[in-house]
Order: sequence, then C-alpha cells, then structure tokens
Amino acid sequence: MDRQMTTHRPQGKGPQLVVSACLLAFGFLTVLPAPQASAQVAVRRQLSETQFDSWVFQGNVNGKTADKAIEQRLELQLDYLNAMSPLSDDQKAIMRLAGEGDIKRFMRKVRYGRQVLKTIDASDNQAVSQAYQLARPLAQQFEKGLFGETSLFHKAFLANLSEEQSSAVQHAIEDQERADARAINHMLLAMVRRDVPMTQDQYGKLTNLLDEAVPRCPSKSNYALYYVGYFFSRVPDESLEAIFEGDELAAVKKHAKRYQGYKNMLVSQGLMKDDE
Amino acid sequence: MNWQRFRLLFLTSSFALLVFTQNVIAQVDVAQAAAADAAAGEADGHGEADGHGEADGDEQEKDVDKAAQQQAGEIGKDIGRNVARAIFGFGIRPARVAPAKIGPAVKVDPKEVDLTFLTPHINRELSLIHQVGQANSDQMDKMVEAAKNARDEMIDMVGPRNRAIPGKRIVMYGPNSIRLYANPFERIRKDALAYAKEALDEEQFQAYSKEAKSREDAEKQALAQTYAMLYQRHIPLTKEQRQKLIDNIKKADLDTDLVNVQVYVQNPRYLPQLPDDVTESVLSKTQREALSRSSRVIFSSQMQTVTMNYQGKKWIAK
Repeated sequence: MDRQMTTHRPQGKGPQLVVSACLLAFGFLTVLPAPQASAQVAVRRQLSETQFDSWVFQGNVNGKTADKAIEQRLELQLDYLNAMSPLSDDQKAIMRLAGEGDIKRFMRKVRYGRQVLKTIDASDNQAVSQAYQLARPLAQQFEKGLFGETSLFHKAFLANLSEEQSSAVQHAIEDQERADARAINHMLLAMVRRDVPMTQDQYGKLTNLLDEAVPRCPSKSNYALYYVGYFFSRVPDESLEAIFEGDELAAVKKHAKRYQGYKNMLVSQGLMKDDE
Repeated sequence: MNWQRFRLLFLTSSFALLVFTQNVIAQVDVAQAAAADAAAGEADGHGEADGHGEADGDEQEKDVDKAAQQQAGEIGKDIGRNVARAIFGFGIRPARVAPAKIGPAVKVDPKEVDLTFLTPHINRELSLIHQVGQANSDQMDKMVEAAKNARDEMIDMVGPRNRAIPGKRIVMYGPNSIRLYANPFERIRKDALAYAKEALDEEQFQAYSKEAKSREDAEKQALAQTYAMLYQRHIPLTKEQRQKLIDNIKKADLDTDLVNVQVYVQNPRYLPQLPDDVTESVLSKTQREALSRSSRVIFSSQMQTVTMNYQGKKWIAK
C-alpha cells in the first residue's frame, strides 16, 4: 500500500500541478486587461457621428440639441439688437430668415463631416486626424457664433437697418468693447498689484494709463490677455516713472516687459497688424 | 476519473477560481478608489469639472458619491468585458480604454508641509504697511514676529490631496501640489490687519486699513467686470444687464479669486459658475436657457500664476 502510494503520488501530481498552473494562468490571463486591444477598439469606438458632434459642439450641446441651441442663439442675437435699437417686425423677419440660412449652411457642413467620419478606416490614425481637421473650423465657428461679419445675418443687418439704427447699434457695440477692455486691463493690473505693493492712488493712475493705451480689445479671443499685455509693455517708461519709484518701479516695468515678445503671435492670430 | 483525482482537480480549480475572483475584486476596489479620487478631484475643481463641484456641503458630497459610483460602475463593466473577451474571445462590445490607476488618496502630514512659499506674499503685505502706515523699525519688528507666527498657523488651511472637503469650494494649489482649502491671499491680508492694529497707532492703522479696503474693492470690481465680460461672450447682454450683473456679483461675495478668473479669460469656451440668485434677476428666460447649455466649469487655482518680480525688502528672510 505504502509502495503503491509512493508510486502513485508522483504520477498523479504532475498533471494536477499542470492543471493548477494552467488554471492559475487562465485566472490571471482573464483578469489582465489587454491594453493594445483596448486602445484599438477605443479608437474604433470614437469614430462615430457622436464623436464628430462632440468635436464640433463640445460642452453641454450635442448633435441632437445643437439645432435648438443655435436657433436660440439667433433669437438672443435678435433680442440683443432689438434692445439696442427697436426693430420692426419686417426687419426681424428678414434677419431671422438670413440667420436661418446661416444655420442651414453650418449644419450642412456638420452633416458632411459626419458622413466622412463614417466612411474612413477606423484604424487609420491619419484619416482620424483628417476628420478632426474637418471638425476643427466648425468648432471654432460654433464657439465664436454663426452670425459674425461674414454671415448672411450680418449682411441682412447691414442692409436693412436705418442709419439711425445702425449708429445706435454701433455705439452699443463700441461701449461693450470698451467695457471688455476695461475688464481685462483692470484684471491684469490687479494681478500686478498682487506682486507689487502700491497705494490706491498709484493703482488708479496705472489703470488710467492702460485704459488709454487699450481702449478696446478682442475679448472673445483666448489671447485677449496677451493683447492687453502687449500694449502694457508699450507704455513709456517715463509714464511709469511718474507713478512709481525704487523696487516698485522696477517690478512694474518687469511685469510690463514680459509681454513684449507676444507681437508676432498676436499678428499671426489676426488680432493686430504688423505695423500697429 | 476516480474520486480522489476528481477531488484534487476540484480543489485546484476552486483555488484558481478563488485567486481569479480576488483579482477581480482587487481591480474593482482599485477602480472604485480611483474613481472616487477622480470624482473628488473633479468636484472640487481640480482640472475640468462639469460644474457639479459648485454645489456646496451635502450636495457636493452626494455629487462626489454619485460620480464615483457611476465611474466605478463603468470601470467594473470594463473589467467584466475584458474577462469575457479573454475567456470567449468574441461577441463582446468594444471596451473603453482602462483609466490609469490612481493610488489611494495620500493624506498630508501637516508637520511635513513647508509653508515658506507664502513668505514673499507676506513680505509684500509688510512692505505695504511700511509704505502707507509709515511704520518705524520697532513697529515693523513686532509685526514681522507676528507675521511669522501667523504664517505658521496657516497650516490649518492645508488639506489632504485628492479629496473634496464639503463646504469648501475654493482650493488653491501651492508648490508640490500642496492644497490650500481657503484663499491664502485673503488670509494673509486678514492676519496683517490684525497684527497691524496691535502694532500701529490709530492714525497709522487707519491709513493702512483704508488702503487695504480700497484694494479689496478694486479687486472685487475687476473680478465682477471680468465675470460680466465672460458671460457676455456666451450670451448677448445689454449695457443695463451687464451693469446689473456686475452689481450683483459685487454684492454676492463669491468664493473665488482673481488668480482663478484669469484662467477663464484664456479659455473662452468655458464659463465660471455663478449662483442662480446672481443671474436670475438679470437674465431673460431665453438667456437662462442658453446659459444652461454653456460649459460652466470650475478650474483649479494655482498660486504660482502670480508672477513675482518684486524684489523689495525681505522682512521675513525665509
């Protein structure tokens, strides 16, 4: 019996160990994720209509709600113009029609992008990149608004408003641009004040200097702060020397000069001219 | 197959199954911890959150839990899909890329936190007191000593990483990812007012406190103007609406800071949150609807974004 046991045990243990090892390996293999496979599948999953919509609309608007959101923007734009200078029903109708044309034109481009996305090879990174390039200008257009200077809405607005109305709207837009510039100017200088101890009198004089140097600014651009900063760097030293002295003057000058090198970037972004 | 062999096979299979199950459970636990941390980080504004973090107190906690559960659920499903794919190799819906594993939140030991990064900011405040209050050297010595102590006490603002603290909305990051669960600039100024009152005579203190109040008002004005500008980017506002919004923001005493708001200026797609009572009396129904479609998020604030060029007197050396 003992002998039988000693002969049986080695024979039986081998296969059992193999089974155990296989099962353990099986256990680990099944639990371990397959990163490469996941990544490939994930890329495939991204290439859907929804993905294109998320590239274009981002945020809280999706492809299904985009139409309504854009139409609402049109109504808001009309309300805004009406508040600045009351519009007649006919004027509103013409501008609404023009705005709807802009929306249709935009949505046609979106639909085209969705179709393109469906046809490309999901594993082809270059194709994905090209599809993204289709979405990018649409996203920028959506973000800036569809009723800007090149829109039908804007053309209808120019063609249908009386001189008096146009002047009132222009005046209101200029007011808004001045308020935007003041907001960014004061925010930038309040941040400078975080670093440089200064009295309210000094801060007041400094804000007046910058408000004069930057009467308006492209507030919708993400480079607005650099735009204001660049003009701050151009404030003459003598003007700063009339307000500050010693360590405070040196620090304020340094703050201003750090924006000196942004001109090329601002020019390339179309925010200012080369000779400005 | 005889009974002994069957029993051995059964035992080894059970053992393998146990190991397998524990692995799955461990992965789900890690996923849940990661999800909870990520959700907590999002909720208090670290990175780009979806605005849930704006809710305060209990609401914030609920949002964190809900987000963590949802995320953990998703991750759990992913693990399940991976397992199923490995076993059967077919018929499984595409899996999401598994998120990077995040370890459990590390609690910061206050004794190990170096707060000397606050010193330049404190020195600036002391310079302002010296400048406007015309403080003599004895008065300055007293205030410097008090300022050092006040800085050491600011340790109470330092909190654990990767965790949202209910009711605390502003979180400012210092160097080495130190999290401050209050506004350090506000605190330095509040402390300065307290020790300046002790050290200066009445006239000197009035001169400083008047300047401090003017600075606070100017910052509040700059902040409100910037918020209004940011809202105008998304919703066309009339001149009257914009002014009313500025007035409401100034009255609202928002838990935010200039350091934070400049991030939005450079990211026009996003909009900072404003309490409903600030916007409700200003915006029309259509404007409010449009606003609800905007991406309102909370960005984290970094103290390092304050550029430091001032080389004035170092009242506190280190």
